[in-house]
Amino acid sequence: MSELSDKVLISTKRYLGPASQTFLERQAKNHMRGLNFNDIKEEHLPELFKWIHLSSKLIIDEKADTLLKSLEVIFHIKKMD
Amino acid sequence: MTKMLNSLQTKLTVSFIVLILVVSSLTYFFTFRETKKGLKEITQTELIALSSVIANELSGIHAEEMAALKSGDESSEKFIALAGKLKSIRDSHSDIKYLYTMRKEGERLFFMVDPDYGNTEDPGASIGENYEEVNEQMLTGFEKPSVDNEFTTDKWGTLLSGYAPLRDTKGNIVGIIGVDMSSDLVIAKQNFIGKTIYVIIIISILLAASFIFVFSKTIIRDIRKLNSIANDISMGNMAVSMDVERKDEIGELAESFGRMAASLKIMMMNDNTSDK
Repeated sequence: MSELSDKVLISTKRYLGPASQTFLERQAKNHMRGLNFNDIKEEHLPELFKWIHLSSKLIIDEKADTLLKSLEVIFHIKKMD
Repeated sequence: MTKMLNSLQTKLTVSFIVLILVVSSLTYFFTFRETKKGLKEITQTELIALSSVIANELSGIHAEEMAALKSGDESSEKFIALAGKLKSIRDSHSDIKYLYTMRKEGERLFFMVDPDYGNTEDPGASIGENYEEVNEQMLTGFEKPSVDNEFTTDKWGTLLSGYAPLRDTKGNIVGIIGVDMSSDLVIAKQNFIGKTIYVIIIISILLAASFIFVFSKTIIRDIRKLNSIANDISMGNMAVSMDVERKDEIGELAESFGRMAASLKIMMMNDNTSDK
């Protein structure tokens, strides 16, 4: 696993627990044209975070907003619409 | 649902109440004991002071006249005048129950003047009547002012007494003055203080119990929520929301629990997708 993927995984685990890796792999694969989560680059992050936010909302409700906010802060990404 | 008797709230409230009761009882016991001791000491000091002042007042010619009285002189003018003198001193101090004089022969004590002699309701002793309950403090009273260590009970009641030597015009000790204070007065003061401490402790227990009840209720409410969510998930209902927001250990538990529930949902969603 790349250093970047690992960092995203650790940040997401705080909200989604041990199944985070499965969750992230699915987001990358299903919404980003079959992208392997382990191969994500800096430029993929805004779109990946958008899908993490949308999908996690179905699981952890409004805490998904906090998850997105925390990811944006950690990876210095400007707030998405 | 946990039975009321087994609930954490009941256990917490009862434990705290028991703890408060133990602390309060110990406080009450020691405070009341010290207060009782203090009150007795104050009364003893007061008795020594009173007996010394009265002995001073009666020493001299009055003491000489008292020492000269013999059995059968109860109707004499001298006795009536001396008894009147003692009665007026006694009546001017509301704390004094009995005031009398005594003389000593060896280790035996005999009354000289008891102003209550002839009183039909509360009869006093006649001249020369032997006092049988002699104690060490009474004998010390022939040398210097002294006071009983404890309340003593005789045919006149339960009393605390102070004694001081009576001197004739030449300065010789001819007897003692005895000043009795009723135990009722001291016990009434002790009971008042005891009741005040008791009321304060009861109010404190009620306030503390109410505070603990409300405090434990907020803790239990959130634990019950977590319990209900766990129950829903265990029955397959994953549409639950984790709305426990606390910054303490229960908040941390809710957070961990939320992560666990989220992972479970993800895995179940994964399984459903794989099945398809």
